[in-house]
Amino acid sequence: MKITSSFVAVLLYTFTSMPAQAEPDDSLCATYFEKQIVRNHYFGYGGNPAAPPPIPSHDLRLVETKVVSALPATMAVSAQATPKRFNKIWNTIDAWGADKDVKIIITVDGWHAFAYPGKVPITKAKSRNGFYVIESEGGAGMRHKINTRELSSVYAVKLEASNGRSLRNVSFYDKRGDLVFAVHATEPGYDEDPDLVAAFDQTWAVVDQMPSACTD
Amino acid sequence: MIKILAFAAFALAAGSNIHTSAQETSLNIADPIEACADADTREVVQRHFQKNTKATLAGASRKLALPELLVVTGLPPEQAIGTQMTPEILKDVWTSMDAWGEQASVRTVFTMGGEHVLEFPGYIPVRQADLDDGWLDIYADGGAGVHGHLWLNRVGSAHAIERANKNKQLFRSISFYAPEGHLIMGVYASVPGTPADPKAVEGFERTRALLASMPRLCER
Repeated sequence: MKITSSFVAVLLYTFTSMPAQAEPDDSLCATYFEKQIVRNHYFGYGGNPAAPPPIPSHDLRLVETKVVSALPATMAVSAQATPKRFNKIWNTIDAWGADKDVKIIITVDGWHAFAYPGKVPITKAKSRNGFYVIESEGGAGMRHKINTRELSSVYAVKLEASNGRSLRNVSFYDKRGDLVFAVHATEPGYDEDPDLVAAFDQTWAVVDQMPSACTD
Repeated sequence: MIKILAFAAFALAAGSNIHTSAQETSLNIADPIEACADADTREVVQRHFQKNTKATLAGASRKLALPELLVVTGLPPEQAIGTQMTPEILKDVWTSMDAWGEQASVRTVFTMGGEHVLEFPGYIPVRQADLDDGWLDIYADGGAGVHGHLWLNRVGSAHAIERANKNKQLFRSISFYAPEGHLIMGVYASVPGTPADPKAVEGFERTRALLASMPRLCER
């Protein structure tokens, strides 16, 4: 095999341009005291055990990754985000099914909040520079272009309400710990689709296998 | 008794530390920026759009490493009219958007600090009963569409933006910016490549006229 200088240059470019392996950023994780505050908000007297994380984040003035990282491991699992892991996680969300109803949650700065009902956004395109395009209803619905290099972590969250139904979501966070968006598979106020519950469990398992976003 | 008092004092101190800890970590709120682009920034922004006729506001913000608000205030005045928000003015502006009609089709856009773009087609969200609780609640499609909650004190300015792409097709949006300079949300009445709803376009013109009747955010 003849190794040319251009081949070496391509190899060098390939390896030097690869994004660095993510490391846990513990500054985005709940401290011992913050865990107590968050758990008290959820499970203390008068708490709402299935509150979507943006609510305690706003009420407690805590960056949202600190809220989800404060939850017990039975209720939230996390992964340090990389483009490759985003791809793997979203492949499992594609498998929820393009015809399934979900809700997309957005918050801006932890203050403004929006909940959009719609169908599962499915992978449309991926670019080598980390942008990942998802859209629903064959392009007629929502369309999102996510810069997967600018994410810090992904959490799968499962919170059971007093009526026995659960909030199940997958949340994607930026490098400041703010929510970019979350996908709600089920919510306590609505009937649960067993297929969606099973599909969410697959996503949960994939996130759980990845390196955690927090050291402990 | 002394032990009980000492424990009570410790508990009080611990409680206050917990509170302080939560307040210190806080949400990611940066300092407000100077909202108006200076002459050099205006030149850079306008040259960027002349060279890149397909550029979006978010794309320009990323490429030029500028808060998106400075990209908007760097546009020629005929393309963007902005005014400072107070809770009462914001309510008035949204009331004028209610008047586009509950069946007016729009696209709402979020750029999440300029790194991501999330777009949602749907009907315009309209104001709900004013609870005077610091929030502006806006729901679309009689509650079947988006449920949005804007924190009134955290909206810095609103802008009516109308720009053409190289094929003379128009972007028309009413866009709301945080005091820190990033987009909270943009409500698009028209986007090139997608048929525009005349109800939204006519409504956009009325809301733009309302913003134009208010004191300008930036005088040039």
